[in-house]
Amino acid sequence: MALDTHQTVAGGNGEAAAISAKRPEKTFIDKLMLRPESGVVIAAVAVYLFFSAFAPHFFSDRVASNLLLSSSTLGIIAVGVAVLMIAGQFDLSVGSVYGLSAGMVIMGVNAGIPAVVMLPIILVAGLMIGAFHGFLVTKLQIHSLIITLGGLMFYRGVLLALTEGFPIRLKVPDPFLRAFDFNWNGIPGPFFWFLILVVIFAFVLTSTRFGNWLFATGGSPEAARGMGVPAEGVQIAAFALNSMMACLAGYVSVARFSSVDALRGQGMELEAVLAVVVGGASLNGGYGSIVGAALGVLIISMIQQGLLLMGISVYWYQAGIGLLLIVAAVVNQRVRIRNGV
Amino acid sequence: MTKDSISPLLELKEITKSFGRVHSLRGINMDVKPGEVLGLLGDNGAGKSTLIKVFAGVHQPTSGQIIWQGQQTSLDSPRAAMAKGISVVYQDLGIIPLLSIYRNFFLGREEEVSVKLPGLMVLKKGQMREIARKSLSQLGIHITDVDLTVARLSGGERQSIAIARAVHFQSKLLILDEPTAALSLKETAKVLAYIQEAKRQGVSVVFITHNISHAYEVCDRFTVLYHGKVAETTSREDVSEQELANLINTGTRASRRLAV
Ligand SMILES: Nc1ncnc2c1ncn2[C@@H]1O[C@H](COP(=O)(O)OP(=O)(O)OP(=O)(O)O)[C@@H](O)[C@H]1O
Ligand SMILES: [Mg+2]
Repeated sequence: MALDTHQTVAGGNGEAAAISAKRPEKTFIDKLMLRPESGVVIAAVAVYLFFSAFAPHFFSDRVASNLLLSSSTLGIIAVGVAVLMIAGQFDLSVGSVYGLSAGMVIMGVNAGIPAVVMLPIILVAGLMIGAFHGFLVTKLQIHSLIITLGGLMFYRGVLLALTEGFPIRLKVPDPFLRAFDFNWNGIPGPFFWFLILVVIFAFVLTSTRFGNWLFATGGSPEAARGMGVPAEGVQIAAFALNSMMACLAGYVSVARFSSVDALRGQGMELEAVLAVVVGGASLNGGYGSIVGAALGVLIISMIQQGLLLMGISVYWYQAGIGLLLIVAAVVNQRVRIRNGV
Repeated sequence: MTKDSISPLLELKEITKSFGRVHSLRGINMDVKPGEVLGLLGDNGAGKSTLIKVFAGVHQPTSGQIIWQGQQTSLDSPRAAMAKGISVVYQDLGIIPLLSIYRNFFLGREEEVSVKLPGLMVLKKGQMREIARKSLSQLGIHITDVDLTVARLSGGERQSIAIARAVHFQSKLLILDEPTAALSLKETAKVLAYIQEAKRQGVSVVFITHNISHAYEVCDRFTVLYHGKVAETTSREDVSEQELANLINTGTRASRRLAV
């Protein structure tokens, strides 16, 4: 067949040759600025320097430990939110799922289920919740904001009803949960889990086929489908991972605090979105980074702790991260324009 | 190897496609021969895009037969069509703008450049870059930095990547839906050259365009659609550009003024 006989190499084909020989070489700065994280790295350094200069005791072990601790649960959630946003979707229910997960773990352990067994149960439950959201969004074509707004109310309502609005705590300490929450040189256990997840997911997104498919699906679901990517399945998987991470964060928080109140995690869905966007992700999908999201989380925690140390009213915290979001969005926009996005 | 001794790569028999009461395709008979460039022409709404979506496994025909390499077949999904060796570059959805060149090149076909771990395929990115660069240059496209996002490329360069991809994955049939729409003259010339290069490498090409002179430049044969039917299929030697224009506008070779 003609397929084999005409394997000519077209190097000498003048007309078709050298499409972009004239494209200028990228400078080092260009290469740095091409990364989605570049804005957030600068921001993180700036915030860090600011509080180092103006917040007393910012370097003390206790403060550092607090900072790392307060960033870990939000961080674990934000990793999932970043995955989902890159796939082109949103989830407003993660704060409620996180709270409900913590509640379920405590109730389960109090009812005699060992915490070791509770871990896989709660993770699978998270996968199923997320897959269900994803199914409704992709197969029935209902916008993810609607589905997960419903989820936000529903899961919070269930937690409120189960606890009747009172805080609940572990009756007996559980050895597995305790082992889960170690402390190493002042670095709290939850922060380790956060770090490990960042490394795993950063790798999956940049270096695996699934990661490729996530970016492609978020960038343009129709084109991805045309090129053989099962776009709906990819989005459902992203929803599932996202809810699973919220449940994992719930588990980690129980290991740390042994208790949960019915409002745990309220507003966290927005903080997570904020962190991910500050970290360079595009709300339109197809663009973003896990490392960026993690840095976004650290910035939020630094602002929180820093303002506290400076003796500034907590009310300013909200104002502060609101401003941060706007500034970050503007900077990231510039980065994306440079990237031709 | 003489052309007429070769049986068609793809043959359509009495294909119809209706969307409710809209009858987009009304009994299409056509074929694509191995190693030819077939021009698929027709006015807006003639049914060209609908027809190639049948080729691509996106639409299922309402009735009629698809014969692929002598065997009657059905194309149930884009992946099924792809597995047979049919690649389609759609009007505006050819490629993912936010993804880099080499990732686009392998999208949906990462198996051959992956290390398979249980539940995870790890991409060999170095190899991906290498292969992408090499197959682009085999087509005459020299892009050294395959990490560029496609968004930074021109329209012609984007088309060229889709074409290189189809050639590399040994597609037997490459379908291009208006690849030269919205391109400058220079870019158009390049894309036409890529089409001829793909043909030289043994790929059959179905080339959809509204520009008759582009079609006339690269196509061996033409199939002209008119209101969901084939007005005529003819080889280039047997038709003039003016006659093609008449076929597109009126469904016959004579212009309407002469016919009436
Ligand atoms: N999904 C659909 N549902 C209903 N009608 C459709 C659908 N897709 C195409 N059609 C109709 O089928 C007819 C043929 O459309 P098609 O897109 O195939 O034309 P075309 O030849 O590609 O035109 P153009 O040159 O403008 O791209 C049109 O009347 C169109 O409205
Ligand atoms: Mg069309």
